[in-house]
Amino acid sequence: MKFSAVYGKYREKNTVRYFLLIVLVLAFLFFSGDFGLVNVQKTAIVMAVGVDREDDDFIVTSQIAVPQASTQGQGQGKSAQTVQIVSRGKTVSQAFSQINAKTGWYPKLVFCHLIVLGNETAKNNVFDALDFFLLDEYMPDSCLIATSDGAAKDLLNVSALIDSSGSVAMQKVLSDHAQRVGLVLSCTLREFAIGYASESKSGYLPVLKTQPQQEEAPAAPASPSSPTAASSSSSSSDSGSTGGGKEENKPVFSARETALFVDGKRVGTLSESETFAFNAVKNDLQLASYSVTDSGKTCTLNVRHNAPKTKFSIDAEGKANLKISLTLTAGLSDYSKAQSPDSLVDAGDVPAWAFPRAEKLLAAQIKETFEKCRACKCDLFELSSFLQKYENARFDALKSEILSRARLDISVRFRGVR
Amino acid sequence: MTARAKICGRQIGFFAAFVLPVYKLMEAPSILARYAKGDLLLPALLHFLVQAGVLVALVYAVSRDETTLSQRLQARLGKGVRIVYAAFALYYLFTAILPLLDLEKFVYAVFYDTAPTIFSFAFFFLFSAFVCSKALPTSTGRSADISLFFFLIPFLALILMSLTEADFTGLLPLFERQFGHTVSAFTRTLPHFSDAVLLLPLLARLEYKKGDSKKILFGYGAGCVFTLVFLAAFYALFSTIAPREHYAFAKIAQYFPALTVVGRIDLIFVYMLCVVLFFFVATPMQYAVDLSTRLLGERARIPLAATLNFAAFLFVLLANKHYDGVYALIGGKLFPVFLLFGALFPLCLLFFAKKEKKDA
Repeated sequence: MKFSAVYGKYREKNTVRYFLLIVLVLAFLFFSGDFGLVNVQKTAIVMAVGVDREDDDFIVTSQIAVPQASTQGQGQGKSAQTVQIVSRGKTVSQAFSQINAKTGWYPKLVFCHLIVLGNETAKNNVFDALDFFLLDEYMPDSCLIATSDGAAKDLLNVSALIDSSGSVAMQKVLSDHAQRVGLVLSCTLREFAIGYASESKSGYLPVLKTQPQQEEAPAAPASPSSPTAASSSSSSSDSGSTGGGKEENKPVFSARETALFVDGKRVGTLSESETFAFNAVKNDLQLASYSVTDSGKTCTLNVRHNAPKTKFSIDAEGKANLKISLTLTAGLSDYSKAQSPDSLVDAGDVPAWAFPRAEKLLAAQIKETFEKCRACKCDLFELSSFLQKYENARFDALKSEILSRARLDISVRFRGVR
Repeated sequence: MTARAKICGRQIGFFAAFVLPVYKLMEAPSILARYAKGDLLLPALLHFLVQAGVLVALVYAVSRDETTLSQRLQARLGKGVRIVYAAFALYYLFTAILPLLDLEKFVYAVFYDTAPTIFSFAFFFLFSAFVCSKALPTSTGRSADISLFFFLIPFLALILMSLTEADFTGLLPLFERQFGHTVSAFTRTLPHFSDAVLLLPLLARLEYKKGDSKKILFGYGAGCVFTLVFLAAFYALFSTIAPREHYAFAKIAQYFPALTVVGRIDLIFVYMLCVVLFFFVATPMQYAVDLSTRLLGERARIPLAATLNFAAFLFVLLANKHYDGVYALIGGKLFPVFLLFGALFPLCLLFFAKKEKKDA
């Protein structure tokens, strides 16, 4: 074989190898992306955002993480420091770009897990502000969203008892666990946007508040009908016990009330008991506390499981009937009066009056919630969606009056469990 | 035809089951949701019925003789076959436009949190040039075999992860929207669903054996089921905001509760699907190069592959600024091209199904 032929074959073989090598190098560049890794010198890692409004301006408060180098065990177990940067603009995006102008940091929203809307923002359509976050492909729309009775800026500035970073403490209050025990109706950006874009145009957001620690708070008379009064005092005393020294002055967050929204505007507020009632109808409860009182004695039930069923129908007159059947499996958690040792065997007996009382009370609270929503024209129980899904042929004819003419039928049953 | 250049029925079935659906999991769900006003399963189902009909016709035409469809075309049309090759080469270049632009946007939006360099995406064109330089049926068959692993595992994982938040009642009322919306969604997504024509170059080279038709049609059926399941999960998750949720398969798993603890491990599955997406996007360009080499000779294959991919790289650099305009033009105005080449012309191949007389 001639030399040129052998060389040509050799060169061809190597050309393929070089080509594949270049492909591999560029593939690494391609696939590596940045894996969420961040140059902390150039980027502002936004952990939470508060949006307030002042006339036509949006005031955006960004809580930005400042990573700390941990040296010789210092900083171990401590959370990263945060700074708040307040910026203003005619749009939320314009306000965000101010962060870059003020600090030289590029705001990165990929780690933003909380948006707080101030009360002024909630008076207008909140999607004036939220559309920015929905449009941003880098922002996870699984981030939590909440509103407040005051300015979001003030709330984010709070250094809370359980975490120096307000946003971390607020996220704990809004956690899935808090929802499972019935304390909070938490909501993500995706869920809230789905409700807004749906036929009902309705939604809800938890109302974030600061509260002083229980020890310093004036003794508020607990409503006997409050379903979560017992759990409130227990959680507060837990918080108090961990505090000491300066920590005692730090507030705790609460989100047990729920704001109602129609067309993106806040139209009403559900109380703590109504929040629990709606949670029982819409979400899965686990280990939730529910207290009932009779003749000065309080029994706290431990709700292990709930099985809500909703049946929607339209009667001959074109009225919607919503039948809610709710079965809760609960055991005895505590009783305000000491019981005989025999009755506490096998996790204790629920007093005979407790379940009927609880059934009546919870049914009344669900009814109260529904009526409040009806008064606010907030279709929280999704009657419009039911109408569209199951009676679509009559949707156009009935949708305008579906909520005002709807009839609610509630049946609540408590079932004992050890 | 050499023994090396053979493709078997199984590989075409795998290609239909695992490679063809992947492009439909990216932009098509949001476009369907937008134009079908939520009832996105119906236009998808219509697409599959049309495409399945065309595919059945093609498989029938292939199965009628021991010779390949390609050989029959050549024998019957003589030099006229060059017109057919040239027309389909142009068509395949045309079909490559949207997947290329989508892939570029997808990679920059999903894999990068900040602006990447243009060379990050250049990798794809090197890969594509390599694919284009390879002879057609064998390399595509291998891609199909590999895709079994790269598609099935991530697809099932992403679907399972999405189920935790999915509400399938959101799909109701099924098939009750105005038919005009369905038609609009159907025409807008023709570029995404013209499947049969993407199997045509493989079918044209297939030396038919008994049982091949079952494998191919079963493979396509599986691909349809995968797509419909994905569309259902996508809409169950995003409901009324589905039209604004782009890059669907990168998003549906991000609500899985464990991700808050372990981080975005779903991206591993997204990367795996992205490999299959490479095969899909490179395929029309490979077809175009292959058909062109039939006109220009085998020696032109490598220069053609290099030139075409360099041109595609420049095109993407320029056209990505006019992404919406290109989409509106191709999906909104030029959709009849997909009907012609994706359904009508392949059906004409039934004229070549007739058995040749052996003694003639």
